[in-house]
Amino acid sequence: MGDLLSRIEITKLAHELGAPEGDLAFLTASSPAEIRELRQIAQTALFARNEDRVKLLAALSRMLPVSLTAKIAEFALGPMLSARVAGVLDPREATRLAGHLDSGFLARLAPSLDPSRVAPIVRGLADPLVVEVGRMLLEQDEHLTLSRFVSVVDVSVAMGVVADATGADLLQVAIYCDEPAALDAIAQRLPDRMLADIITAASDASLYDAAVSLLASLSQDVCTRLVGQIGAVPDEAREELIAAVAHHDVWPNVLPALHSVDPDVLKAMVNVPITMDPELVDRVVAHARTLDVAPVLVQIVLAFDDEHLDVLRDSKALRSAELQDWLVTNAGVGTRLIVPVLEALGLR
Amino acid sequence: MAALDTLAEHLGVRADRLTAFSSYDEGQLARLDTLLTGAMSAEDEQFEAGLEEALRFVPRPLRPAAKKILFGGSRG
Repeated sequence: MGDLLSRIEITKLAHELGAPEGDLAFLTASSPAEIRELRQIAQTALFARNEDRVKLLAALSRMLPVSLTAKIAEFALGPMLSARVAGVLDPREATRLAGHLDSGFLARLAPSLDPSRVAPIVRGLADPLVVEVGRMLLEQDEHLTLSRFVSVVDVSVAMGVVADATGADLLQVAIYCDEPAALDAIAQRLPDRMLADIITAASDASLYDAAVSLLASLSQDVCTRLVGQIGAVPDEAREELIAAVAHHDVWPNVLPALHSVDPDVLKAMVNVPITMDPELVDRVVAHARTLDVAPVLVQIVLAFDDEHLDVLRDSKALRSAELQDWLVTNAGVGTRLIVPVLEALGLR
Repeated sequence: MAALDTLAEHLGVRADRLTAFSSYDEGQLARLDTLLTGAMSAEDEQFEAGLEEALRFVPRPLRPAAKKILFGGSRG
């Protein structure tokens, strides 16, 4: 997942510097945390550079009628400078000023805002205005900008923004979002249909790593609902998704979610070529043991077809007496059902 | 490593804050620095023009006071 997360951080740094992403592609050799820190240093340097001028412009705005300040912002300063000035204005002044600005201008200004500086201003704006600007940003594919405000706006406002968003839009916003808790609060309110759209969008664009990264960042409840939508994607895409889950070893996020997946979907998920690997089986078993989800392990075994069941014979983990005792005790079904299955599989 | 020192100077931090990037070659670090200074120059130009332009929108009676706020005593 490191590569994907590094690429996401490069996109954010490129946005900060107003540079093409390709010019920074060499930074993929750095970790996401290193690139993030570089972006924060660069952002601080850029903000500090003209801070005196920003304060002068803010002082000027205080001696003029708000309607005239709005005119100056829109026609003299432009979006970037206005965004900088907004960051130092008193939130009440800024909110009043925003009320005099055209929503289209606010949408052009939003990408240059620093959410941490303007959060009180955004929270003071009328909800319909924030929704209108958010929808404009969505239309302009400003997913990165929207992702930066996920934790700033109220969940109900965010829901208004994404009401008509496509799965691809939602996936992009989620990928860039740095605030998993805020993202989760929105995802909890999304209907299953939209969650299915996100999974489908990831498979349509072959963004399997992104989908897995999303699964890993969401709460168990939302992860469970999202995994439940995997039946919506074609067989090949499902295989790729499971391959990405295995590659990034996010089984701890996915395993508990399998408990409530439709049995047919579970069969389709686990009977893929990549799961015909005893070492992968051992990893899954180890995670199941750590998470203490014996019933899920039983469900998976029962969902396997004959070809996959044959592979279980070569699992070292399943041969362990300690593991089998745990399974028998915690599977949630009678011992008389588990033991014969283990014997039939040649594991006991 | 000259390029790393230059980058740190332009970012306003000590070079040891950037040690994570010391494995990049001089050319790559110079490219990063060019992008950074380019962004800084672009912002500087926008500020120069923006301050001048803002003044044009200020009503004439308020302009001397506005000029004093924006440019101090450096302009008549």
